[in-house]
Amino acid sequence: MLRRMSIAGGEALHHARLMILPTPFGLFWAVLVCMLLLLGINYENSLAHALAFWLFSLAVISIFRSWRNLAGVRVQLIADGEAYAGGELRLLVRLSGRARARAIDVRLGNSRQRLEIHAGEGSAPMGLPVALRGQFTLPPLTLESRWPLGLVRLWSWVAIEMPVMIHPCPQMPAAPQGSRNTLEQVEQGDFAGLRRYVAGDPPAHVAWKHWGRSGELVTKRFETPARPSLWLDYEACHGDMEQRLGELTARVLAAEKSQATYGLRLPGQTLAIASGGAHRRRVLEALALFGGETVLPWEVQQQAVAPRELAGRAKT
Amino acid sequence: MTRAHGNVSRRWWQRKPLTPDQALGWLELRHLFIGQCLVLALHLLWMPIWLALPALLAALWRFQQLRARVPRAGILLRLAAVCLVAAGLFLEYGQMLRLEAMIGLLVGIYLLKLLETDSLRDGRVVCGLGFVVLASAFLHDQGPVMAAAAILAAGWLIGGLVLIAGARRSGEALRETCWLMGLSLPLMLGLFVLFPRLPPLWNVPQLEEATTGLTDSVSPGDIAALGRSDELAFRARFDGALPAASERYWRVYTLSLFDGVRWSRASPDRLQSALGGPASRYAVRGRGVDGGSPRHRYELLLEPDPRPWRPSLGAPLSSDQEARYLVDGTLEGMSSLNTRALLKLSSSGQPPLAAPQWMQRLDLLLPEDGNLRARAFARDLMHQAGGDPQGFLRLLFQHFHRQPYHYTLTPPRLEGMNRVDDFLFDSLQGYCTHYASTTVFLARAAGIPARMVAGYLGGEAQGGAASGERELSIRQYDAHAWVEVFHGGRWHRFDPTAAVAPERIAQGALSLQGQPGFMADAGLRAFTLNNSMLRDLRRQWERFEYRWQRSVVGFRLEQQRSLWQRMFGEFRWEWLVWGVLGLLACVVLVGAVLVLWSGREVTTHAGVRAYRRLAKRLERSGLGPGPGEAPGSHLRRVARLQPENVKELLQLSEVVEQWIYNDDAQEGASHAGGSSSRSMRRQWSALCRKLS
Repeated sequence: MLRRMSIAGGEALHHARLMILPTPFGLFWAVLVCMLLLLGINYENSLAHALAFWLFSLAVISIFRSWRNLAGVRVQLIADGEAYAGGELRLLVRLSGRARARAIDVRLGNSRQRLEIHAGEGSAPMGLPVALRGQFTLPPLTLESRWPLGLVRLWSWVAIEMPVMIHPCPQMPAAPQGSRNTLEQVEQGDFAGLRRYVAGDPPAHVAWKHWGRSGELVTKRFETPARPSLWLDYEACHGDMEQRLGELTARVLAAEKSQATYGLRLPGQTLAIASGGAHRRRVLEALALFGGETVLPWEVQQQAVAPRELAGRAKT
Repeated sequence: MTRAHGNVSRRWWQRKPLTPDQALGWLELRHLFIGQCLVLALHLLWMPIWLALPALLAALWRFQQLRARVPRAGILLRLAAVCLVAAGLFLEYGQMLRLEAMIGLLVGIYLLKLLETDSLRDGRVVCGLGFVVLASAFLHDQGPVMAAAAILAAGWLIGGLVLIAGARRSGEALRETCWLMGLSLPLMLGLFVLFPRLPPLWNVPQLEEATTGLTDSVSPGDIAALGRSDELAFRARFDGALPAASERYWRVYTLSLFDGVRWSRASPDRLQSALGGPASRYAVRGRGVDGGSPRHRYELLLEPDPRPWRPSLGAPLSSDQEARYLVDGTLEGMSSLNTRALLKLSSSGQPPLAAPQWMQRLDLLLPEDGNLRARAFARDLMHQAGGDPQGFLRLLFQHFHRQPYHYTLTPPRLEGMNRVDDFLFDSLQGYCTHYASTTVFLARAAGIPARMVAGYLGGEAQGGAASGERELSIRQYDAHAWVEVFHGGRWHRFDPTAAVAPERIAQGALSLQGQPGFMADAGLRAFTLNNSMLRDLRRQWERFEYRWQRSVVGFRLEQQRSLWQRMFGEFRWEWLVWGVLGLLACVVLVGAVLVLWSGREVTTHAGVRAYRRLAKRLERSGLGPGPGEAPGSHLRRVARLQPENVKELLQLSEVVEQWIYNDDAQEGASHAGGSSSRSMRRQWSALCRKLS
């Protein structure tokens, strides 16, 4: 039902897809109009009649204004960076369409964000807490508005066909491991001679001994090292599966930072040594999907997040 | 976990903590407070001025609370505040069941609501309550000034709702409010005209307001107080020409009973209990008792008056509403007037013709003792006249005229049991009541049935030359008393004041200007009367006010009916219902058309639309775009197939690609007033023309 009623992301909101219902305040307004009308009738008061009719007309007009505010709006969701389990999935909600639209609430899962459209565009970041790794489909996004009087709620569901990948939570084990040494090794290249000191050179690279001898500041030059390559092995890590995956993720990130090339060995899957964004994506994906490759609905994620959130709130 | 569920530890009176997007900010709170002040201002003319105090205190508390100086107002404080307001109103009015006190309580609660207004929901409720409080001000006044002020206040409240719904700035809220109010105006007006005006569904408490005007009994001194007021008494609009100034005797009631000091009314009830007989002997419903011919037809716009009296020019003959025609030739409505009301009348312009025997006897009654000199004087005068009542009256008139009697609104006080003697022979100073009451006393003492008539004399002509000056406005300073005497088989009007101050009769009360005491309470308004331009302005304003009263405030079922009859020649109840339904159907239809029309391509790019038109044309010749083919590559493919148009098509593909994909050009275009996109459109249509 919900899928059928919703529109695809990027498509303009069509009037047939806009739902409308009065808010509790809208019902209060109806009672108010009836009260004023009774006042007008019983006291034979023309201005009370007029006020009652005016409030009624305002309610009618506000439905059209409300509809006009939301119709034709398009929604786009753009992933903002990578998401790791236990962290936050950051998204950018982008609304476009009308030259001007006000007070549009975007709801996705448990988070909501209020947006405005100025000069045809409006965007805002949203963050969804995530607890589990894997590939998920986002829940339908709800666009909602009570503009301009709060008498009616207009909303529409937007189905965003965007699978999101949640990577394992990167965590280094407490004790240093053998393979880590190889990582550290590559941080400095080989010594390749001296050159004159230039303001801004790191003090650690200044040849202080040379300065002591000659009184001249010179900087040690290092050659860009040949990239070391390393194998990230599931079997070499410790702990249970999630801990191992977390460690591997942390190592991937560290290797990326130090511009090392790396390969990944998982039980039943091996990714050859390589480098670059595509490789990194492949590796992280393999880690995220390890042990199950189905696309999970977002509700699973939400159920896992709920107790964590509560625990977090209790702390504060 | 348990602490995580904050509502577990929350007590029942504590409210759910608010998330930031549910809480009202400074801007909204300030707006709400100003709205409250505006609504309160509509009431302060009638309400005790201290009602502004809770508003100020509540605002102060909220201000301090927002700055974290004081805690949130607890339930005890709020209850105490409401109790204090209620107590104050009780002291002010003496009881709580009076409508004024109830309105006061409503206003007070509305103002104190600010103390607990934290969430957006509360803010909306405050706005909604504001409309109720606003409407309760209409019970006091429905004039154009009130209506304008109410529009302002209602607009402000609606602005508050827009602000709460998410407007970022006040200016934005104002613009949306203007749109909403402007667009809803036609529907409102339609409903106002078409919605059937029902009679009151049940009895409601009414306002009891002190009104100035004629009083039930007169002892010299009362009408002078009226002379000090320039308040409007009523207005009249004549079907034909206005009566002459000296003929504008508006009879309101007669005074027949005299106890030696005060003159009082012989009301039908009083007469029936004293004389017995059926009630219809003293008052009849429907047509007037008098057989005279109607001379004046007019419509009265009556000011609110708790008493049922209705003025008429001479004896009333018929009216468009049910009324009681009293045997003394005056008119009584069936109920008191709480609001201004319209009444159509026709009347004879003369005192009533006949008087039954019992009435003639009644109008001869005098106290047994007191005022002996006056009695002797009357007998003497009757003797001189040779027993002719007309001659007696002529002599009396001459007496007032020749002797040094003065017309003054500030006569010396008369006390004791012989006030007629004192006035007639000693002070010789007084106003209409003195002359009228003395004349009645003398006539009765001489054996002529006579009674005093209280009412108004005069009226200021209203309406420009276009409408032929057919309107009169009668003010409290026009109040007057005169005499009716019965001789020759009918009642005759006799105004002794004419002997002393003929200009009062010929020119109306304004001739009294300069008299000490005349309009002493009117202040600045007296000044405006002396200035012809201001007086003109005032007349204009009063004409407008009169129209407003007739067409807006007085718009009831009868007016609705006459409007339909004027437009369609006939009126039926069902038509109103159909009219309302038709109006709503119209609105829905217009709305649906708008929705469907703009639902088509609300946001599609102008360039895409232009391309689609061309693609449709190409499709007819079998050159339509393939599935998933981009506009640019489609046009280039067509260019390869149509070598004769290759140049135009390649240019077109460039234009359309620039048009669609070049966002910078787009933005630049919209900033530079769309000149670039306009030139592209021009280029496009030129190429399209060449192609075809």
